[in-house]
Amino acid sequence: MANFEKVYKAYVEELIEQGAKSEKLRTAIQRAVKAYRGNLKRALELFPDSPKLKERARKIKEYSIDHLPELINKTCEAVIRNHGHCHLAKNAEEANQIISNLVGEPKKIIVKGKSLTSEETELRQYLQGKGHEVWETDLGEFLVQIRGGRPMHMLAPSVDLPREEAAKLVSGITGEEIDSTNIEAIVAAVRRFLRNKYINADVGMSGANAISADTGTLFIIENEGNVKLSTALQEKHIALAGVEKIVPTLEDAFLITKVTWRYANYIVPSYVHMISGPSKTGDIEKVTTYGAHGPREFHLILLDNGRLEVAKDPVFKELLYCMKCGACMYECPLFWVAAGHYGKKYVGGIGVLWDAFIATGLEQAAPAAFTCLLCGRCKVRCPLSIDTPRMTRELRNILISKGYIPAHLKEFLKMFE
Amino acid sequence: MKVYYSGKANLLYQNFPNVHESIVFLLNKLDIDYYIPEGEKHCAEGAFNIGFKDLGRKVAEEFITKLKESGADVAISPYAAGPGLWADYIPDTFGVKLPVPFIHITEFLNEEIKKRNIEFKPYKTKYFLHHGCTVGRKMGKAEHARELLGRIPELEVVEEDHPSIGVEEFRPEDFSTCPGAWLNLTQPELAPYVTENFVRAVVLPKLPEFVGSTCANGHAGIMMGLIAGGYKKPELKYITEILQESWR
Ligand code: SF4
Ligand code: SF4
Repeated sequence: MANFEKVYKAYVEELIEQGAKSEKLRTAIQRAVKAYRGNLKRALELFPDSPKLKERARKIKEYSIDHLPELINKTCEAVIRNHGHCHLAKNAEEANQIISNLVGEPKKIIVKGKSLTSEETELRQYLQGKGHEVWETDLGEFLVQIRGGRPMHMLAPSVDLPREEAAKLVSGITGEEIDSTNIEAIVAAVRRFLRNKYINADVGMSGANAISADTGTLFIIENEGNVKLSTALQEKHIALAGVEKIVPTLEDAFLITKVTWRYANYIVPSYVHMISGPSKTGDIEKVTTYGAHGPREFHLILLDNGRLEVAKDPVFKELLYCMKCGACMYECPLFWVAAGHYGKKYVGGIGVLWDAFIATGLEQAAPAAFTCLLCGRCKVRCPLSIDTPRMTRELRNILISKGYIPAHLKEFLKMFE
Repeated sequence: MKVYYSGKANLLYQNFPNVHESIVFLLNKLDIDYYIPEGEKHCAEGAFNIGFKDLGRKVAEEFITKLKESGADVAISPYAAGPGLWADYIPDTFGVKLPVPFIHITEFLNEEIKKRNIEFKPYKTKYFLHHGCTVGRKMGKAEHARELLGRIPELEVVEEDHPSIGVEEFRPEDFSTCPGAWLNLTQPELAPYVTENFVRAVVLPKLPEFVGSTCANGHAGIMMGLIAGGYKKPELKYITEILQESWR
């Protein structure tokens, strides 16, 4: 267990030095929390049916996770029917390999929309390692890419970054002089920089917020327009999504998408894309021809990476209901202090559970499992009432049984001997 | 009626002798026959929450035995943990039941004071009432603390507010922030930062003279936060201390 002690020490050190001690981070998070709460209040006042939608969304997720194998088959059938390609990847390595094969050789330009699943598989790094030029196109992710490190929130990856630092980073990569007090100027510089990349890219990549099994349709929420440009201008569109994103019908997928954006802080997002296959036209003699204006090829990679196993567990299957709306984090007293340093690949209390069973494994996730206060605020805020504290308590029990226990807790145990 | 008062050892361990004294003061004034168990080490919640399920079960079983032996009709505690866990988690997980009800001290005192129609001296001050997550959110018992403090003339009680209250079906206690005392056990390195941030972000904006939590563990978290931030104000006072000071 010597390795666990090292893992624990490294986690706590980052948590304290880069998270808890940073006044800058705390101020940024405090502002984000205030804005989030205000926006959500406005959205809920405008759409008072939201609490009812939440209940339906929970039922859809419960059903879907209980019927995953069947829904995966249905989804793939639908995608193939739509002239797309469907791949089921057992783990992160397999997903990256499939994608790498699809991207092909020699060096390609790839533009990517934000996808937590691709963070899980470390896809960008993998493709860069193969010599490709890969660009994160979501502004927050773009900033994470150029500064290094990892996202600090599910939906707002650079939530901890003040404008002055963002300007410096963007200036460094674009070579432009940027007024560091002017957020619009920063956004405009990134826009100019990425334009060429979209047009010259060979492959566009995305994730998905929900997938309907009956039609094989991907729902993708965004505001910036980068997903639009990363899924429409390239020859190939490759989408990577966890199998837990699948729900039975198009209506279900829309409802899940709506609840996701509502609790992700939007009255309505600028764009919701529905993508069911490659671009096509039947305008000449009604003969369907693929590759009209958009991608000629469409590939959906469905990632298992432990999800199918977790779906069988009566307690932990609940973590798969998570829509990654990020709402819970804004109410977590630990996130206020530590932001994305609380967690590893996934962040916050729910993220720790995802890390433990999906993304990093028990040992790497263990230190953060002891960060949670089990206070339950996240559950109150979560539109699906996901019981993160209950699962965390159970996870701790497993960790302790496997010996992943911080030294000071061993001392605590002695009090009872 | 005989009362089993659980939590003294923990109060002393957490450096709250004054809270313990105020509880004893009130029980005496109310002429309650009470029993304080000796050798109570820790509540089972500490063990359960950390992940020591077997240890938690052992502590829980010991609690049942002690409670039975005491011949008490009801158990009370200033901690939210015990009553909260015994409300569902322990019975659901181990299939064991308590011989008598286990309730939070605010519920017990509120009922007893109500029965006796006791009037308090005015106490002109502003008190920030924090709702312990278990007692307030999970057990929905926040109203007893409010009612108790509401019996004191001129005492202004302020609570944490949240923009979703009134827009969605939430009560203030649903969104009460955890001060972070648990970290002292599970990740002590982080405790000063989280507890201090609680005081700074949640308590200070309300400008109270005094602050306290329904849960003595939350109370400990607030104390840690006040110390970590070097805050001289507000002053920490448990609900029973305020009642003691207002006793006629
Ligand atoms: S239960 Fe854990 S993850 Fe949830 S709000 Fe509390 S500290 Fe955060
Ligand atoms: S746990 Fe709930 S609130 Fe948090 S990201 Fe998942 S769905 Fe959203």
